[in-house]
This record gives sequence, structure tokens and C-alpha cells, in this order.
Amino acid sequence: MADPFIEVNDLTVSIGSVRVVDQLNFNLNAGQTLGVLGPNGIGKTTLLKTIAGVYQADRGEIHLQGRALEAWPRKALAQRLGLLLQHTHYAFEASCEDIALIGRHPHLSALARESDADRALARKALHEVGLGDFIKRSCMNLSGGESRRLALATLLVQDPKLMLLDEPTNHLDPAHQVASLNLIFERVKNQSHAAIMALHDANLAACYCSHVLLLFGRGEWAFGLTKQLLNAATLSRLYGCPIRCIKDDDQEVFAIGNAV
Amino acid sequence: MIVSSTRARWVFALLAVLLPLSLLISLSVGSSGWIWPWSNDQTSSAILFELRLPRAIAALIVGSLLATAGCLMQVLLRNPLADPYILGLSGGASAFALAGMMLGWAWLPVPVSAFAGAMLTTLVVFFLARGEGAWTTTRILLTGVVVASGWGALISLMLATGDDASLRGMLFWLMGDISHARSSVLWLIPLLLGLALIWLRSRSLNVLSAGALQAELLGEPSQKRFWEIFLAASLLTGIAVAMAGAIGFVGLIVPHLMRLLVGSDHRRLLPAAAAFGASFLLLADTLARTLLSPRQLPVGVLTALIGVPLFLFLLRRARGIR
Repeated sequence: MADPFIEVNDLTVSIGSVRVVDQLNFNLNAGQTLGVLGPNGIGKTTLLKTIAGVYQADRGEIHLQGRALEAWPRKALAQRLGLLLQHTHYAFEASCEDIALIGRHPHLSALARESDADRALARKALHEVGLGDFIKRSCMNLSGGESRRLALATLLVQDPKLMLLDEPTNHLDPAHQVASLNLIFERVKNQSHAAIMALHDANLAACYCSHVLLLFGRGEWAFGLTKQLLNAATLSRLYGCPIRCIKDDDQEVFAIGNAV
Repeated sequence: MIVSSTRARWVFALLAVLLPLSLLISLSVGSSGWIWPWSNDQTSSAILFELRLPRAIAALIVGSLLATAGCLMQVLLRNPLADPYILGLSGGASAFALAGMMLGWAWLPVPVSAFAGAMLTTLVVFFLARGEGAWTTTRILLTGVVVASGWGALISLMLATGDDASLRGMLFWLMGDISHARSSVLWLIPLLLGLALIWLRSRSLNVLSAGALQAELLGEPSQKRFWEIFLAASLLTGIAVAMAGAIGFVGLIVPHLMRLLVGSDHRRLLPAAAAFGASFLLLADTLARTLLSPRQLPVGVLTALIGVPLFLFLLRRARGIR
């Protein structure tokens, strides 16, 4: 059997004096999606950055396609792995097309300029995230949700085999949440990509993620199949608030138990 | 407001006309009257080729250096309002130049001491801001600003204690003055080569404009790149300041104006800024030496007098700036 797409061994990550994960172990294959769940400030972003190779772990190893993360040249890594950041801020006026186009950067040689084909990819991605009308518009005056989808378009243009997404559904209305996750899901299924995403909505995780990683704090974690791991009792413990599971004939839904 | 390719092409066409036109004007006018550059008269061609042309070339070079350094500094600090002097380079250059003038060291030409001051500041900011951790915008900005005010205090001290005879020269230098700058046409070759080298890395600059972390994720070694940009911008600024003193506003206004006219893609921005910076300073210097002819004004006064209202006007118009 081939190596798992990404392999995390005994990974210990801290931020300041706070332990994010202690001796984390998991494998993820192409075609699988991992949801990372946990309360605010537990270190989901830090963990994603560690897996992306832009944050230093205390101990442990991460292998991408059988090769240690730090052994990959930065550019080769960027062709295979991308991270949708939680916050994006644009300092300079540019068209949405130009912003999405920077996703092609790792695929081009140092001195090459973007071709028409590259521009076509950028436009296609903008259409996919529903920003088709924004191609020639400025990145400076976007709403929160539009800005989020522009960042997703940039990641789609980068088209890494492993997509890391830090709260991809932030600022998105329900329709756009589903549309965005569908886009990611399609790539995972049809192009045998893999995705790891930090989510706040257990219901979205239940729909889109084959696996989940729960971060309880103080380094405690749980990894497993979504079907086995996600239940009302575990989620209540995870978030420290009562969560109920409500079922009808088609669907199971997690809801906050004591909301007024 | 997004710039269309058609509009950018028009801007480049205008710049292509403006540059030779400003050179023609600057060669033709002066205190010894109007001279056509193709004039055959011996005295006239002596004035043209020995006085006006070397000074005009110097203005072209300084203008394009400052505008390019401004573009780089704006990427470095991720701020469209950064200028080449923001990290204290002009302060260091000025302090050294003034010290040289004050002590009357004939063996040390002012441009050499100014360049040494600029490079010393670069190294000081580089090593102080580098510290233990990673490069951050705030850290380099704070370091630069504090170093700049340190030089400012030294400059004030020298101005307060300097004798009256050297004070005028010092003030001219501080305001920026091309009247002593001479440059051979041959220097345009290394200038163009240097600018081309930076221009070839335009795509990297575009990616770095999106921030260090995003650039890193797209395969750019951000830390290394930012130090390279810092050193390149410092070198360009150091040369400009050594040639002509601390001319203000060119490095701020020109990149900003060109951003509005051709957009933020460095493939367009860099050549547009270099070309317009050259024309702008050349025309400002032509005004500086003709306005109160035969007296000469420091060109920095004119760039600021034109630059300040222009800048405030642009700032009011551009609502996108945060």
C-alpha cells in the first residue's frame, strides 16, 4: 500500500506556555477530509500553521507524500500544500483577478509572467466561488463574505493536493457555506485531494468530513471517523456546554441545549 | 478603482513622451538663456554638454532611484504611504554629510560621507530589527523611526553649533539640492540594469504585497526576500541621497500617483514610477534653477511645494486607504 498522503507522528505543538496537542498521531489519505474542532483559542489555527510548515512544532514529525515537511523546498511544498488563512488583509488596491492570480505563483518559474491560461484559471476560480462579477473589481471594498470567497478562490487557483482551511465558512451565509464546502469536497472526491479544515459548526463537519480531530485543551486530543466520534456527549464535553442531537428521518442535527 | 490595460497603455505612452520632453526642456532653458540642444554654436554646446546635461542626467537618476526605492519600501512595510527615508536613511546620510562639512574634511567628499551614513543606518536598522525572532513590519518600522530621530537630534546639534559660513551649505543639503550633482550619461547603463533586475522580480513583489505569511504559503521565502528588498531599497536610496541630499516627496508621491494611474502590479508600477520619478525631478530641478534665476533654489523645496498639496489632494480622493 502506498504511503498515506500526510502522516503526523508524535507531534507536540505549543503556543506560548499553552499546549495545543501532545503527541498527536494521525494519517490522512487522498480523498479524505479532516475536520478540526475545538473551542476558541484552543490552537486550531496554530495546528494548521504547523502542518503548513510555517509554525515550529516542539517535537514530532510531519510527512507529506512520504517526505518530511522540512525536507521539501518551500516552492515544491506550495505546489502540494496550501493554507486558507483565517484573516486576509489587502494593503494595496488590486483587482480580484490579480489577487486570485497570485495562487499561480508556486507553479511558475521565477522570472515567468502569468500567461492567459493562468488568468483563465483565476477567472474560473472566481466564477466558482460566485465572484464572477468581481473579476475587474477592487479587492479593497469587499464585504466579509466576499473577501472570504476571494481568499478561497486564491487557494483554488493554487490548487494544492492538501488543502488546509482555517474556518473557511467564516462570514458566509448558509448558501455560501454549503457552496464553498461543496467546492472543496468536489476536489477531494474527484481529484483525490485531501483537506484539513478548522470548523466551528459540528453539523458541517458531520456532512463534509470523513474524519474529525477534536482538541480539548492542555494537549488532549481525539482523532477518528466522524461517524464514531461525533456525538452529543463528546461535543458537550468539547465545548463545555450542553449539546443535543436531534433526529428526524433524514438527518441528525446537533443543537445547543440550553440556548434561550 | 481598478486600472484597465487600455488606460495603463495610455499612461505609458504619455510617460514615453514626457521623459524626452522634460529632458529637452531642461537642456534648453537656464540662466544663460534658451539654447536649442541641436545648436552648433561653440559656447552653447559647451553650456549644454558640460553644465546642463550632466546635471539633467543626475536629476533623472536620482528621481528614478527615489521612486523605485519608494515602491520597494511600500512592499516592505505593506503600506502605500511609506517612503524611502522612513527608516532613517536620509537622517544617517545627512548627519554624516553635515559632519563632513562642519569639520571641513577636504579629503572626504560629501557624497562619500553621505553614502557611508546611509549604509551605516541600513546596517544598524538591519541588525537591531533582526534580533532573535522573525522579521515583522512593526519591529523594523519602530527601529527605523527611532534611529531616524536619533540622527535628527545629531543634525540639530550640528546646525545649532555650526558656524554661519557652513550653515547655508548644510541647509541646502538637508533640503535636497542637485546643483552640485554631475553625472555622466554612462551611469544610465548600471541604473537601467539595476532597475531591470528589480523589475524581473515583479511577480515576487506582487506576492509579497499580500503579506509575509501568505507569500510564504505561496512558496516565497519571505524572511529572506524582505531583507533583500530592504537592502536593495537602502542601496538605491543611499546612492540618491549621496548624489543630491535628502530630496523629499519624490519617493512618496511618485509611487503613490503611479499606483493610481497604472495599478499595483509591479510589472507596470516599477517602470512607470521610475520614468515619472525621473521626469518629475528633472522638471522640478529645471524650475529650481530658473524660477529665481540667476539664484538657484534647492530642488527639495520645490518637490515639497508641489508634493504636499498634490499628496493631500490624492489622500482625500483615495478612500480605500486604511
